[in-house]
Amino acid sequence: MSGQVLAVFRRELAVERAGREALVTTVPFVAAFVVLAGLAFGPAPAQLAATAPGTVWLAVLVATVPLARTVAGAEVADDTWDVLRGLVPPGALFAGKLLWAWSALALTWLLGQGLVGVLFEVRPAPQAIYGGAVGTLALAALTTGLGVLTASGPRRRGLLAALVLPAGLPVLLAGTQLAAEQTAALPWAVLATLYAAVVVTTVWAVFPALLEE
Amino acid sequence: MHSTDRLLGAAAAGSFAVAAVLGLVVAPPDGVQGQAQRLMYVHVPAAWLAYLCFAVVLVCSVAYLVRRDLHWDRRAQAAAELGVGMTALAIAMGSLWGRPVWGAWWVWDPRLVTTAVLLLVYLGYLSVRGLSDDRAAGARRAAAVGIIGFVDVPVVHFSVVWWRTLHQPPTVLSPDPAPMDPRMAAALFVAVLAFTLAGAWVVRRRLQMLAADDGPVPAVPVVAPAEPLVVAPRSRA
Amino acid sequence: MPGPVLRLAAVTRVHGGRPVWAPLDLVLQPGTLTVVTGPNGAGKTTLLRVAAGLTAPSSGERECAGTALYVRGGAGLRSAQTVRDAVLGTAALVGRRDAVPAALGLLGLAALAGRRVGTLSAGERVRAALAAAVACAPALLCLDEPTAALDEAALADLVIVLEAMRTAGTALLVATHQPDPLLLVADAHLVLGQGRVRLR
Repeated sequence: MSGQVLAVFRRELAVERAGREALVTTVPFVAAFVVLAGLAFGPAPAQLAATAPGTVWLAVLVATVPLARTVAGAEVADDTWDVLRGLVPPGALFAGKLLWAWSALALTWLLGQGLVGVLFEVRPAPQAIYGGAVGTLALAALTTGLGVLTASGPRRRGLLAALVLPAGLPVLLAGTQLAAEQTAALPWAVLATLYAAVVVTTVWAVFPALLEE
Repeated sequence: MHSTDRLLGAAAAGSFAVAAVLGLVVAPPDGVQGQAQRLMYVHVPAAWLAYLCFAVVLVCSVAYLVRRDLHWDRRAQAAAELGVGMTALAIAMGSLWGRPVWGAWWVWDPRLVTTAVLLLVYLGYLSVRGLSDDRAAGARRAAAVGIIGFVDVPVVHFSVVWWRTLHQPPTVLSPDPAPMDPRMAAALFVAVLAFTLAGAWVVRRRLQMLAADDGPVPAVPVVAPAEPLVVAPRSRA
Repeated sequence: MPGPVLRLAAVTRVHGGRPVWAPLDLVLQPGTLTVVTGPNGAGKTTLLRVAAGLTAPSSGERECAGTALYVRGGAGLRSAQTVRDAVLGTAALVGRRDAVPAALGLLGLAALAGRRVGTLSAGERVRAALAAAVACAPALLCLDEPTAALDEAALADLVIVLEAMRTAGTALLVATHQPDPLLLVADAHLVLGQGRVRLR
């Protein structure tokens, strides 16, 4: 099974290298988001410093919506979803897609963090890295599950945003707090870890039902 | 109407009448909040019923995924529809109550935020049914969202509680509650009972409508079993 | 004789409140080619998707020994990738990357291997999809209308490829509106219509 998980993940990387869909949609979006946030909340350095962590996590949270399409929607559009479902069992398909979504969201977080560091002149607390890793894992699980849910077509695409964004609220809060220097890190790290474990397990459990037709 | 429905309806109507008298006449106004506090007799039962409905959605969603009987899905849908209505009512009543008491239509109280998140998630639950015309596909998707949404709720709640304690002392929003006047407590209890009975009546009636929409389960035609079709390699030159 | 690749026992599928066909018992042995015909709406695609395990039957049971693959027309490869990369990616899912060069050669795709799938003609896409199927070597291959975009020469090539897969042990289930070339070499012909599946 681990071989198939890696094969699914490598296939996603290869498709992304060829088509650059995630890159082209996510990078300009995050860059625009951070710049506009700087204009909306700035220019006072203290104001920017206070809003920096929230800006990064809001950008990551909203980026899950276009990224979710790469999970299954793009496969359905290319008529390759049946091949994937036929050749790969649900558990391996979920894990492979999760790995891909996690990588993409983690890179999105890094990009956001880097841009905020430069434009807002703030340095995140070291524990922010843990928040980034675990928070993006939780969001990746939500993105994977809900990406498959709405794969069937463009109907109610906004629905995905309405589902993912409020469900991702704990990540937004925990990630933001872990990036702030003055807050106690451990409770938020525990919350983020617990949330990621709950979401990954729940989506894994319902994934076979989401794949059925 | 089924006799159980008549009984439930009568019990709910009676409870509402008693709750109205207790809440509007017998219970005294709050010493600090005044008459506005009487909105509690709608806000709290609505919130209670909403959470109860979403718990029903969770149980029925799991049951549907295990049993694949559309009856469980209809129960989940009926409960979710009522739950969404009650959530919206609870938020509206909370705002009306909060305006004279807190001076604001909305405060970032954990319970309010969690309730607002619930409203969005379960609106999404009802919407995923429309992604496909296939009844069973809609039921499966809704069940998945119902499960994911519900397990999300406690974490959402605790994260907002912790977030609030960081940013605002709890005394601003919820000073140590004084013991409730027994007449208020009685009015609240009867109101909760009335809402619960009315909710059960509404869900039962809605279940009948949904069952009628689904129609009878198509019977697989009983056909004399044909010989099994066996495809084997034929001999080739 | 080895066990069957596919066993459908009293299988039917309900669509729009009505069963698509009467309960079906079907057994496919390895190394067989079965052609499926019938008018539009008779349930050919449904039968193939149920056989491939993509669609759950409304009643009855399905057993399949090994991997089942369903391919419709020339679908199954990501349009942004080159033919080689797309076929490699698909074959890697079942650990058969090594079989890709031979599969590309069998389908005459060596010259097209570097082209993006999205730039291929309909007939070329069918060949590319078949190359992925050959490389994966599934126990059961369900092909839905592979002949629609093919000219006579390409049809003849298709027959050769399907015979090669059959010789290798794959059970093939092919739905088509152009059955004649395939019927010459098929082991069975299933006809769908009027709510039944018959073996001709």
